Amino acid sequence: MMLGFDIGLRALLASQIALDVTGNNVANVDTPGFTRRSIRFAALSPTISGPRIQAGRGVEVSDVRRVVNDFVTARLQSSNSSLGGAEVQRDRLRDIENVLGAGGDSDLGTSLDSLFSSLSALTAEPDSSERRSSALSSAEAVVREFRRLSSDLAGVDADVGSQLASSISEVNRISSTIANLNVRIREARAAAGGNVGASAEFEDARDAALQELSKIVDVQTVTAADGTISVISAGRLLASGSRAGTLRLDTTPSGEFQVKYGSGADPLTFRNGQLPALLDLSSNKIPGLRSQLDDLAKNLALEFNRIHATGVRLSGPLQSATSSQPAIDRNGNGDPNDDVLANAGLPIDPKSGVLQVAVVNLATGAVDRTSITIDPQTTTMTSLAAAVDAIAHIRAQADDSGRLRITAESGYGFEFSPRLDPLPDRASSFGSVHGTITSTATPGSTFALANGNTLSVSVDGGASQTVTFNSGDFADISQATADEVAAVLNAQLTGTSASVSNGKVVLASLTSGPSSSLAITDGIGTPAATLGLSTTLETGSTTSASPRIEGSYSGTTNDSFTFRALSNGTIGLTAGLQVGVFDANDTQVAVLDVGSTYIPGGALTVADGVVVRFSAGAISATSGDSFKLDLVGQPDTADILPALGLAGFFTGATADTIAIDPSVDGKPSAIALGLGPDAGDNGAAVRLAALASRRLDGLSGLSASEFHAALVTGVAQDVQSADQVATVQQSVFDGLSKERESVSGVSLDEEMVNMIQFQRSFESAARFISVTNQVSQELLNLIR
Amino acid sequence: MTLRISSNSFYLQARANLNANLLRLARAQDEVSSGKKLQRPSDNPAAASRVLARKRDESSLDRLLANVADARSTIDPATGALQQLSNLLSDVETQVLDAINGARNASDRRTAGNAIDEAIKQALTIANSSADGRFLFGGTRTDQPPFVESASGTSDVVAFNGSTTTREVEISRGAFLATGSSGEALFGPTGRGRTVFQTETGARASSSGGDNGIGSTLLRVKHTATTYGDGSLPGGGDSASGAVPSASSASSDTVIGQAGTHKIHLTVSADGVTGTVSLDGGPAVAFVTAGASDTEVASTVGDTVHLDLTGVTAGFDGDVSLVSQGVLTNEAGLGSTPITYGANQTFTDPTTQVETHIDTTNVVRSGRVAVTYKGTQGLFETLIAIRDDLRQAGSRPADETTDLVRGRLEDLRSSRDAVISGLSELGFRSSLLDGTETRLQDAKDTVTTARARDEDVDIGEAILKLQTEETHLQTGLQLTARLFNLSLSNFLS
Repeated sequence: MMLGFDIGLRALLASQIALDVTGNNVANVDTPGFTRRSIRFAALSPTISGPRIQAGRGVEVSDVRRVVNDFVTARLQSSNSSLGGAEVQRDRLRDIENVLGAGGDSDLGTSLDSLFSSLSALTAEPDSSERRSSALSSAEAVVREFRRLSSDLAGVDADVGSQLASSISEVNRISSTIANLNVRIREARAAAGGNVGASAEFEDARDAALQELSKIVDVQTVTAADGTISVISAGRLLASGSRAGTLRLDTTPSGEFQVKYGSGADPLTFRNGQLPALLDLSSNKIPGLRSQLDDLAKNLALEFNRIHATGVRLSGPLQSATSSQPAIDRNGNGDPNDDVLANAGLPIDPKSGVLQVAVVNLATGAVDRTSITIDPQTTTMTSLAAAVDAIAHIRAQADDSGRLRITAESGYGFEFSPRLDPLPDRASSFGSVHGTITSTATPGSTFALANGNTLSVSVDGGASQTVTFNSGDFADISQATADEVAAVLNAQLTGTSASVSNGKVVLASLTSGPSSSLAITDGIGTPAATLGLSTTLETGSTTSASPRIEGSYSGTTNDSFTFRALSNGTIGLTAGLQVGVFDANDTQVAVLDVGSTYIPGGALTVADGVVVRFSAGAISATSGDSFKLDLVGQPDTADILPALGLAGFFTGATADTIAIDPSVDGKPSAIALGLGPDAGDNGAAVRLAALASRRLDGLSGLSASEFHAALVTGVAQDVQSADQVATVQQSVFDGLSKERESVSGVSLDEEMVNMIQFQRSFESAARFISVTNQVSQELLNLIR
Repeated sequence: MTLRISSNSFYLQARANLNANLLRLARAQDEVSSGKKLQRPSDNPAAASRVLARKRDESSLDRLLANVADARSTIDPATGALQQLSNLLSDVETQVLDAINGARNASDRRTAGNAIDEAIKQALTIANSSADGRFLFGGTRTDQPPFVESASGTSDVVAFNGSTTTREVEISRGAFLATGSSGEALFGPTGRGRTVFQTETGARASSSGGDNGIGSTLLRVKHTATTYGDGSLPGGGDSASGAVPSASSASSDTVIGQAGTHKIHLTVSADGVTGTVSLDGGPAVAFVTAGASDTEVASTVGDTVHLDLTGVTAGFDGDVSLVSQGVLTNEAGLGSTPITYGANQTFTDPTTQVETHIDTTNVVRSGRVAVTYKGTQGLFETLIAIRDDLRQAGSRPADETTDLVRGRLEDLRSSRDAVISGLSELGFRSSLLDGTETRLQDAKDTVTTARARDEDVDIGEAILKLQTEETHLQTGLQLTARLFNLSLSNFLS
């Protein structure tokens, strides 16, 4: 009889527990990460004492388990890692796309476009100060865009960095949470005598923590017999039993982020999750983009500067210039000026080549040219400054900061342009008012004179003067140079002036007009013939032929035009009189008719944009009348001007250092748009405007605008794929979440059915107890 | 397919679907309100790339169109200036022709000269026209007046201070057009052409050319000696008729020519006392032998010979041939060169060394030859020379002034032709620009349309999509609302 009560009581208790569990499930229907509990009843086995057959002893709740599918849980964690990584990629790439602001009104592509448009407008009116100012504004907008992009990308990079840092802290926090939970689970199970269900809440919490963790890094778990788990990521233990591992964020000297374990030195590689996505952005994507932007800035500045440094300014030749890119003291001795240019920290490497420096006489416009050879392996700032300083009327020095400073003497200016010398016949050899005889020998040749050679010169019809060539006046008289010969003539003759022009000896009477004359005769030996000096009487004329050069040279190589009288006569009068024009290889490039068909003062087109005018003077082929005009097609084959940032338009070679050169900033007339001195010359402007579509080697054969468009499109494609990946991952994750829900989620309707079921059991158990009680009462009544 | 749906999965599903619906609806709304299919490049990177390329094309076409507009803006003011100049020159020509009219006297001519001076100043102003502060006719030297006047001796000279080259702008891919003009070509010497002679002497410019003079000059054909008939009598007289050149013949005769060019017809009375003589069939001049030591006989055209008829043969009645020698000299009478009656005789001026080639085959009388070396002087030089000639009207014979100025008018006409030709070149440039503009605009329209295809949304399609999404959302919401109300608890009492 007593057993009945016991059975009934047990039944009541079991039903109560079942109801409690059901109630707990219902209460936690919205609790995230909650796994529904299910009850397992076990029938109590009868105690067998004696021969009596007992009914069972009732029911007990053997287990309250979490309903969970570990396989699904694991797959959910791995999917979460993929999703986390994809989301980070997509979100950050979207940020970058916003930064690029592509298609908007102020993006880099639009500013570049405006700049090229204002340059194109300048080709039509290069002397318009409004258009020049407008071009400067457009250039400033481009500079601002580059700077903004650089700093905004740096901002995204910084965000990524701080997200990395906080993710690492999160990982560490979660790892220690998991370790704590491990301890709790072990203890709970131990206290409940190994009952798995005792640690259900902690297990739920631990699963939730693992989900959080898996979003950040991909994890693998190994469950131990005591219920604790080990969490492994990137081959390291993040948590094991009661211990938690820690991650730390490190930076390499080059600024790259690395994640390391504990106090170890090896960088960890994660397969999935937010962390590796952030690392990839920070180490590859963002630096890659910034480097592309830097390439664009560098090449844009380089091409601009190449053209601009060799152009002619509206404000005329430069009076002073300072290089904007300093040489850097690489060899560590405190002086930046003694490092060879190939190793002086210049952002653009100079090449082996020649720089043409033109010095302009501001009053006459006459141009003197000097070539400076540059070898990056041997030339230093000091040697370069010395070479420039050696040029007449120019002072140059390399200052303490490693910059080259050039100044012109008063009355002179300098340029690196191909500007033509308007007055090339300095020695007055060609049809001058003075009686002049010019050597017809090849320029620069030496002469085989002998000691004791003499010639006589009759100046202006006067008495013969004898010139003796002595060995003592020459380094080697058998290889006499033009300079030495000129010196001897000047020393021994009166009434004349000897000079060397374009490598030829020119002897001129100091008087002018038809009474001015020279007659040379050989004395001992034939020095006059050897020297190529005519022995025919040569007289001066009343008017000088005064050749004047105009136009601008359109050729692309360096050359020269030598003008030689082909016969004797008076310009504009003598029928059939011609002047031959020969290039540097002595090939005839043009024949100019200056006879009776020519109207003196008129313009004659030679070739390649060079125009010459002659006045009505007398020229003579016999006395070697000639002059040479230097032609510069490539003023700077060494690229030294853009390398040093001299006379350029932009300074700087990266997106965050690009700026307008101070010599041009705010000074519209200082922009070099011409190739010649005329205000309306647009030669350089045309080349600058052509940069809009010119394919640049440094940009892999793309133009600047194409390069920017490719950069933007590249990011767009990355965003699109990241978006697609994220979408796919999201739906995979959603699918797995649904699976988990279907296993572990609480169904209210189901629980309600359970509730009814357990309610009925409770009622029945109560009924049983009531019946047992009645039966006992009956028994007791019997006894009384 | 899951076998069990928990309460949460229901809600999760509902939320997810609702979100997706709203996202699509938001997208559709964006498209309709902005009119753009492409909100950001990542929406469609391939289309975005095409759009960017098209934008580059559009920009480059815009730049070319701007250049065309700039080119045009230099043409219009230049055309106006040249028009003005052409009219001015036409007026000048009228005035000059009037001034050299025989009815005008030296004072009238001097007045006309001053009027020409005004015209020169005007022409200078026009040649130095500018637009937007840029000189139109200086070539690439746009910042300085291209024509500068300065004193030169007793007169003045206008020098060209611009450049011959003009700058070029790109008006279509790789094609450059000159903008601006160079005054040198328009107002300067047009290039040596045929020499023009204004003369009554019968001398003509030789067809062989080779002259090297500049501007104009005056040459003279001077008579040296006349010989009659066989020339056997002293003084060059004819023995048959007794006609002898008088003492003033050498300096005063105007006829020149080889045998057969001129002749006199002499009739002497039988008694030898009186007679008549005529030249080249002109009016007969009666003479009395005794006093006819220096008889002047004129032809119908005004040529004259001077005869000493005191020794004429009585009863002579017939023609007497004459041969008359002449020389060429410069204006001052220097450089005397005998006339050779050849097709290409060279006269070299001893002062200037200028060579003039003259066809002297038909020289019939003495006189002056106004020589104009056409095309060797520019507009200003010609105008200044005409002005100076007119101003100096009193200091030389009126006929000389007339001849010189007439010669220079030839040059003036060439200059005016150059200006008109400049006008038509500008007209050609203008129509070239018109054609180019049309083509560029068409090209741009094509590119813009192509870009719009990628970038712009088809409004009809977008609105339809918006409505569809709206309907989807509505359906979803309705369904969700209905199903949420179902629960077991509804049915348990």
